[in-house]
Amino acid sequence: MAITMKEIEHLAKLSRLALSNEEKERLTGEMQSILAFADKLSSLETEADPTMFAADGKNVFRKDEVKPSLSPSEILQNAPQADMECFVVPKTVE
Amino acid sequence: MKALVSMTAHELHDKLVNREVSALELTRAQLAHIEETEAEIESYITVTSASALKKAEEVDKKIAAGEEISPLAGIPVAIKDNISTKGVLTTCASKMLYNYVPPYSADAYERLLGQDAVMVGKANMDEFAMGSSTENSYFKKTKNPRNTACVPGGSSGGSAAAVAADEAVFALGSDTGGSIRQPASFCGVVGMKPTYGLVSRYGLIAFASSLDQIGPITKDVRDCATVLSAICGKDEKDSTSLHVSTPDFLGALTGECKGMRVGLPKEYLSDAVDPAVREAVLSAAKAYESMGAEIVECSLPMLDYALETYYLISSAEASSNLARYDGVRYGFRAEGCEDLDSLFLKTRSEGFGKEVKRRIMLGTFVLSSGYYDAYYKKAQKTRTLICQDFARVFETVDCILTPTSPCTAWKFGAKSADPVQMYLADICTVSINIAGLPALSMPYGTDGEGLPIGVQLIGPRLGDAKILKAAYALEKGGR
Repeated sequence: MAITMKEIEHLAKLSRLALSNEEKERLTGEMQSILAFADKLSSLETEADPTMFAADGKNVFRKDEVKPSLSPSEILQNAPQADMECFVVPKTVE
Repeated sequence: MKALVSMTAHELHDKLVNREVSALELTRAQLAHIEETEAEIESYITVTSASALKKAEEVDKKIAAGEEISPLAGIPVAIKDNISTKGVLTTCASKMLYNYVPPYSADAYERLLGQDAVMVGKANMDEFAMGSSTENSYFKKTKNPRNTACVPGGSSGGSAAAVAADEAVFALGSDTGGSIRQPASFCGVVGMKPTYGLVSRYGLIAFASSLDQIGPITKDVRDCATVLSAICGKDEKDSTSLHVSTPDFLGALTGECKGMRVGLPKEYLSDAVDPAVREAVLSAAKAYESMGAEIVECSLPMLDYALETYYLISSAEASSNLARYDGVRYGFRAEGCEDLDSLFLKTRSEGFGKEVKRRIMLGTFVLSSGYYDAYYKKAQKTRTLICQDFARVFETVDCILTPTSPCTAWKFGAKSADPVQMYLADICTVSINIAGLPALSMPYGTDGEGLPIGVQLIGPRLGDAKILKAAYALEKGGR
């Protein structure tokens, strides 16, 4: 299938990536060739069930027990910006 | 006399127990060798000298007190930089995590610490483990110790190069589509991807969760079995980790392979494989026959769809896993953002490299409405067929013998221009992750230019001990 610059812009928006014009052009070509390569799958006729994990498909439950976890200061130690016990981000409400 | 740093873990363990060398002497020798070698090879992103020396002193105290020490106690290890190590920089070789110091450790690393292994550094890799040459690292280009004009393979290129250059006695890597086995093959060392779920993924920074698995890179098969025994086991913190008792991996190393049925699938020996690599695989097959194993010609026709399936599934999972990098809680944050949207956009655009962006875009595409059924769901159906292909062959064989990579190490830049060319290099390894099987790469001969060739042994699910047994027999008797 063909992929257009417009689609690349849409995907970039969904991916939260701001691309330069040069990046958009390059990615249009590259995605084109990657998808041409992946298109082989469309020729494969199959009614097989999809596999998500190649392991036992049963859910794993654990007991709902209180256990020690990381402290707020440990959680915040990597924050680009923190104040008190909060992550600081640009203003989100007017 | 063989230098300390070039010895295997089991040789060094004997020396430690017999008090021929102390753990501190060994660690000092290791750090000195890293100091000498690192300028040329560049295996490491971070070298952890101070904590290594401290750990070595603890081991010496245990030995002095007459305590029994574990097989990996005092042994220098390199840890791939996507495996979380509490208090030690863990970057995933990305600008996005250039300053990230995890507040907790990966389960596999915790288990090594529990065995008193001595971490000497965090190894270089392709950014977020996406790549086959380690050229996608944000920080540096690791050289192949066997020929420094060539790439070490990837994505665990730093881990494999460190072991090959004696900059560590063994290493941990991670393998999503061949990222342990292919660099092990390129650098002439042993590398193993265990059965999916055998080793906990807790603390492994996620790339494609249904495919990722941590595993050992070592100098020989015995060390591989020892390290796997140390890192495997049920972990409550990873719901996909398997509840199985640890098999006796070391006990499987008898040196015998008489009566074993070794499958030789014709699709893995096509014209796409370098003649020297094909010859090495065929001569390994002959060696097995001469040791009393039976070579069974077989067919895995779904190999033809493996790469496409792999790149669609892994990119889809990656695009979802990498959504967490937003500049809010950890890692890189772009400067001068006035609102939240521009913070996300700028941080991600400046923080991720080329290949990572490409895979996020591809993954977002295959998961987006209108394309989901045609690409993602189709790939998952094909995944079922690939699993069935292996299950059918394993009804009649104990393990499967193939090349690890269709070629030996290539020169820097040789496959960088076209992403599809780089993806094609993973043809022999990706289907094993798709099916969740164990596989091991071991060196078997060299090509015309003296570059190592790796052969791959694939086992049925939880057949890890079987392939270690077959690999050990080939290592001992198969020359």
